[in-house]
Amino acid sequence: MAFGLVAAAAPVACTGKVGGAGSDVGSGSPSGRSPGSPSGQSAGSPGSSGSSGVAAAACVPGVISVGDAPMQRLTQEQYANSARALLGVAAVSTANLPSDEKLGVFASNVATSVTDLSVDQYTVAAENVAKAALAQAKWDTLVPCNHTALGDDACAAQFVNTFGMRAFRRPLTSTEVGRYTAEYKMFAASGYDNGIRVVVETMLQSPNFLYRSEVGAPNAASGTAVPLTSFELASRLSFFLWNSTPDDALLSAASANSLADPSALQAHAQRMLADPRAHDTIASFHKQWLDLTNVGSLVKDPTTYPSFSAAVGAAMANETVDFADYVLRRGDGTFQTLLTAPFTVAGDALLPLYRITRPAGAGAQDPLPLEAKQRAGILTQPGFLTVHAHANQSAPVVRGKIIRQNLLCEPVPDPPNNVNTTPPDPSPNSTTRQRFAAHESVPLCASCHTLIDGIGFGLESFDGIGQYRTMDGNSPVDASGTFVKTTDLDGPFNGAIALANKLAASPEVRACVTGQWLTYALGRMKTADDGCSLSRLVASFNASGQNIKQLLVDIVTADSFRYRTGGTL
Amino acid sequence: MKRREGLNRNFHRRAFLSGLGLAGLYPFIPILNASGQEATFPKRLVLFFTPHGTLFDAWLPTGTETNFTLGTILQSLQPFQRKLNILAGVSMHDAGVGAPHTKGLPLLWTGSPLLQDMTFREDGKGFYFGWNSSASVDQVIANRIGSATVYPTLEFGVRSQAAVPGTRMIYTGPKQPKDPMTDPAAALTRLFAGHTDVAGLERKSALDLIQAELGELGTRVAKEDQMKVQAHLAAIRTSEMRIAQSSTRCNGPVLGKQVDPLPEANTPSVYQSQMDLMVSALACDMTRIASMQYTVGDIDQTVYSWLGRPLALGRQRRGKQSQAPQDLHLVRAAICLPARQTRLDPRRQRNVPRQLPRCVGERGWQAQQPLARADSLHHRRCGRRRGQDGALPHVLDRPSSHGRNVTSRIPGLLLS
Repeated sequence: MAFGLVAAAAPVACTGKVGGAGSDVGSGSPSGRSPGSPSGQSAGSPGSSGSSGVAAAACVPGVISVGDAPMQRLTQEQYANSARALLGVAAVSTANLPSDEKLGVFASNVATSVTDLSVDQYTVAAENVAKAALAQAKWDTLVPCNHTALGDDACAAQFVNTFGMRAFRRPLTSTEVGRYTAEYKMFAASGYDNGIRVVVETMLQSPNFLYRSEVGAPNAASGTAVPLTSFELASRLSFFLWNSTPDDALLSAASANSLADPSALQAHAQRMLADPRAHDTIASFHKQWLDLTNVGSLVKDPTTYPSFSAAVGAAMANETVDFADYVLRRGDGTFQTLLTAPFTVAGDALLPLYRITRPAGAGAQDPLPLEAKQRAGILTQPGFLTVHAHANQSAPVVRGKIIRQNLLCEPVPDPPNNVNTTPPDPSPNSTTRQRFAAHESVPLCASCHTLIDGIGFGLESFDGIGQYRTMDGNSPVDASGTFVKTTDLDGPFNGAIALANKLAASPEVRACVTGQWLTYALGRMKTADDGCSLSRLVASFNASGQNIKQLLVDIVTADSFRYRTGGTL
Repeated sequence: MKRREGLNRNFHRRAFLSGLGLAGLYPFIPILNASGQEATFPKRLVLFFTPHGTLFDAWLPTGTETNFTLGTILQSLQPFQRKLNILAGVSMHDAGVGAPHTKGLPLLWTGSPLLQDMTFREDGKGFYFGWNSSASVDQVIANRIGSATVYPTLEFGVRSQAAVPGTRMIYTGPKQPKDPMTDPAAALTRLFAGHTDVAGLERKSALDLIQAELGELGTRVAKEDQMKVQAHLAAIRTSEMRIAQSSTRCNGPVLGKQVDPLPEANTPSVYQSQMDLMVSALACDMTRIASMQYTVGDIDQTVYSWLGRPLALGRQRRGKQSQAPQDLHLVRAAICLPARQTRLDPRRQRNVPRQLPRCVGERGWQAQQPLARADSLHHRRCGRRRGQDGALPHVLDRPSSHGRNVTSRIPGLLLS
């Protein structure tokens, strides 16, 4: 790249005034291809699509093709949920666990290695969890044993086998049992509970707990797709649908090798989605997909938005999660409802923002009717609108960008290095739309901003914390928007309701969402080798009337979910 | 007594500060050797990073290379001016893959491009990108001299949680970022709390057992995964060596009330605590190589709420459309220490408030001028006009005769 300091010093402002031409912005159209055409090229090559944009591909009869699946280390949430499930403790903090890698949209630890800091963090976490568990109950509540009849040593061996299988998500080898019973004896001088505590602490630091290693069927030829073992499938199921470790029912099914049967897999998926633990996956997916993770710690300008607080922000995140949970598990389960529902599931903290009261007799987890001319589904909820906004005004650019990236799976380039991205100061005498007008008049800016601003303008009826408004400063809100360079969405629309309905009716969006869920389920980036699985899932999602719940059940029998590539990567 | 004071001053000026590279920290003397000779004082390296540009008018010295006047931001370095080499206008160019704002931080201390692989998203130009491709300079140095201390290196950070290239600057090797410690309370426990003998035995037992398990796991998994297993084993060996060493060797700072390190409003307190911890760790010779990462290169929603009023300026930095370019200017005012900087006195175990030269322009809590003015200065002069991320390599242990002010532009300097 040849530009130097002198050239780089010329500023460009795509907000308000334009200061001059930059030098590193000559890449022309984003991603070097015609935006909007889903790429059919293999992933990783120029022109391939964004984080979840690996294209559906035709299946080759008789050939099972799946992407490489690297070993995954538990995410913070998976660690906390698993420790909670294994030990029956109330809650496990993720605050000082090793941080997660974020691959595209979703957290998954596949590339990086454990450091000495991580080792220390895992040690402290394991000690804290084990001590908390022991403080509230004896180990016998986890693995009952008749100490009088059997003696402590036999009970310890039983504990190692039973708890170990839960923690490692497979039976222990005799070598492993030997190691842990020996460790128990080393520390049992001060009592059974103490010896077991050290065993539990060690197991929670064990690679067999921290990593999800998969081998598949033994003796497979390198590079060919091999089915996962039943225990490996049990782990994939539970981390996908619960974001946590398998329960005893799954481990029993794995012991009986019954998970090799796709219909058994689907039956377990149905069972697990009906279980309250599915809430953890629904929460994790939607918070990451819509980028809501930080809404509780956002700072807003107290002068512009005096009603916003950390508590309100947290209530916003809860709203979206509870709403998604309602739609998927108690409602009709369709993507259409998720995007267009004229109701929500919100806590009391949000009622003033909506300017409504809760109907008599309705609880916080019941559907709350909203004004259908104002709100439609998840993108018109305050959480999404608040995260994707500036501290003192709405942010059509940011809103448009995340919709294009995460709902259309179209990559949007980052702004060039020398662009001033500071938004213009709000003024009662100009609308947000007017302040961003330079985006369209300056060709340099327009090359990217026409892709995103037109989408975001459709949400201008909502301010920086998601309050409905008809006036923007001293002028009426103009929420007309437009899609350009998409597969099937191109054209104008007016307002959030139209935007939501347009997105809900779009095959491009449905394919994208299918891919997002598959990515989440696999915990890795999709590759071109997952194209067949993806195309089948897109077809079944459309055939089911966009039923997300059915999509999740179908994912667990997809080739990419049930197979891995054998041999060395 | 008199002689001791003389020693202190000598120590202060010549050894400690030059070695530590932290201007304005007043003398504290926990590890003078028996004779108090500065000649044996260890060399140290401290890397700083702060994002999103600076006020160059307030930062750049004026004058010539050897005869210069420090800008307001660097004023606190004035007593050590003759030891300073100040570089400005150093650019790092990288034509490799990666979104523009994402690849600055991994490039900063590694001088190497990102790998082109499928780990992360597409970079907007049609290529996927992965992690960095080589180690950072501090880790390379630590490989040679790091074994002299309990911790080969220590990484501190302020609000730099999620692990993506744009949030990590320290790497032990390709794809091997080191998380910084971001929670002062946890860091204090880790570095200074120590443990009982029994707890040490338990930890050692656990880590021994886990090493055996990792050995087995390594034989089962694919080649790429074997590297992760090997790195895990190496990390355990590093960690396990420390178990034998008890906590009594040195006292840490008193951090005061524990705060949640995540909320933006706590940033000044967290930064102060992290500085205190790093200084204590260096003073205790627990490490000689440290780094301080102040937030991140690209994901930053900071609105600087602790300044009281800058929100009215309408700024909220957005994560994925952020500001850190690959055109890095290495040198900037990372050492604009807070006005409430305290002097650590490990012997007395408390923090002594003290005065420091104040500085403006870091958009920090140390702003001397009225905030409105400091803010508008920032926007008018700096903003994202140059928008450079930057950092200052505090390799100040140089012959005292230098004192150069190198402001000429040196294109394409790489660190490795």
